[in-house]
Amino acid sequence: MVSGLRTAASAMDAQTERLAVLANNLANVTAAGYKADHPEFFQLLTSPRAAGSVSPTGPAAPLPQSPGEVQTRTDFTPGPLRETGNPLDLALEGPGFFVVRGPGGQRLTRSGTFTRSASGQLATHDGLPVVGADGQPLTLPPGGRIEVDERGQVSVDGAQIGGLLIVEPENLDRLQKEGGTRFVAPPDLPLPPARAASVRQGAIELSNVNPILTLVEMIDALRVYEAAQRTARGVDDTLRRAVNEVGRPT
Amino acid sequence: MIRALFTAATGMQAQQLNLDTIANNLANVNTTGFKRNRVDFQDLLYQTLRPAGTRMAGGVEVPTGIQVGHGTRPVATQKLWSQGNFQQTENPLDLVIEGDGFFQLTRPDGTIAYTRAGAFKRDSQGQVVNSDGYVLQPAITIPDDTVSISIGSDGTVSVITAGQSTPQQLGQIELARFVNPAGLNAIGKNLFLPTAASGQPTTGQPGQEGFGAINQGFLEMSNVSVVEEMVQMIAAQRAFEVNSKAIRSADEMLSISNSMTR
Repeated sequence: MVSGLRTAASAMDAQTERLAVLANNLANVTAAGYKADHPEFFQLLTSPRAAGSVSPTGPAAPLPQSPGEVQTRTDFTPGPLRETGNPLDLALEGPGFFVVRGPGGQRLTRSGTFTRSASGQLATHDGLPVVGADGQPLTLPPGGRIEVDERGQVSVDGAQIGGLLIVEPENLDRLQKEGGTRFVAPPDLPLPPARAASVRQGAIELSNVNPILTLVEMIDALRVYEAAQRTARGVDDTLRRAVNEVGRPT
Repeated sequence: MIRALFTAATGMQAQQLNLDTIANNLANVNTTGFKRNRVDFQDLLYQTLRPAGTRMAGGVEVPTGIQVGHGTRPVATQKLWSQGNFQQTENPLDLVIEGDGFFQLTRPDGTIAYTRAGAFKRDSQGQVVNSDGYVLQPAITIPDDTVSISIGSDGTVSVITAGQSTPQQLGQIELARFVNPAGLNAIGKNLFLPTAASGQPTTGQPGQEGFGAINQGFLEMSNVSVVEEMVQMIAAQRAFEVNSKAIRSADEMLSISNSMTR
């Protein structure tokens, strides 16, 4: 009886998390290089109770330490490119990431709206230096015309000053988002140089969020939430009858 | 409370700033030498409820984790330096830079500011100044009895004075260039100041070493495209709306959970 209530509550929790993920996609519909998250559901294989008649799969595993049964998968399909004409706006075509150096180590990003930092390095707008092919930040001279070719080679007034490091992780599913439109790669994930990525100077990659699909999914989340609430009330009604009406002398 | 409420609110705030920027671009559609602005956004921090690759009981590794983001934030507004259209004015002191570079002006406090707006005038002493009276660098003084002024594509200023038949060279206009003009600090009045992000200026002759050439009798119009801004405005408005829908959904969820108990 009470487990029915709990199941309905966990379904409601899951839809709340799902809505949070969808709302985050919508909030980032104009963030360059943003990759949409898709909420996915997995079924709880075991009952919260001990193994027995409820679980056909054998001994019960403990429940995951998460409030809901929703998990997120990041959609790495490319976003549309927009021409800006700014020499330090770089977009990647094909799979790959720019590498920036954050306080916690190297981070990957596809948001190539770069600038020149106070110390003259090529950096993100929040000040993280962009890592070059030699593993060191790229330093831009104070003047000159910057050109970046499609292999990521940077030249100033025709003289080459270095290349950008562009990597292609072996398993995209293991990347974690960090904020700042950046990803954290686990230390044991190999990051070989990208094979098929090319750099477009003077363009940015827009967010790959599809607002229409996200809105539809949001409506779905709301209605599933409502259905779960109705279920909870149904269980409550059954309980009420069991408590108040069963065994009452007629 | 529901996370989605606050996440969507950051989205609405971001679009409001986006719209403010677009409105400023549209307001300056006829401003000489104006360069349009763009807001850059980033996603906010993520709450990792379970990292990907976590080992669960029984040695099963979950392939994807649970990460819930907290919205978006504006991280920078920057200028887009594409060339504006040229407008013919026939005024001898209206100058346009065809390509890279800025005119240098001395402000009243002695510092140099940079501009693309080349609508110059003569002040009472005959100096070439902009509409606010800031003197063009290097300073050029035009004699009172000047009949005609000609400015070459390399910035050479020469005049023909009354009674003379040969032009007399007065000086040469120099241009300044920045490695990252998007990092310049706009201070209004069509003026820009260098920052660490823009780098220090390098000066040089117009038409050489990547500097743009000067054309006399033209003005550079704003590079704001009304159609492009309209499209951006529609997109910003719809993005605002879609975030308000997320708020409404979150609100409705709260209302549903409030009606659970009778």
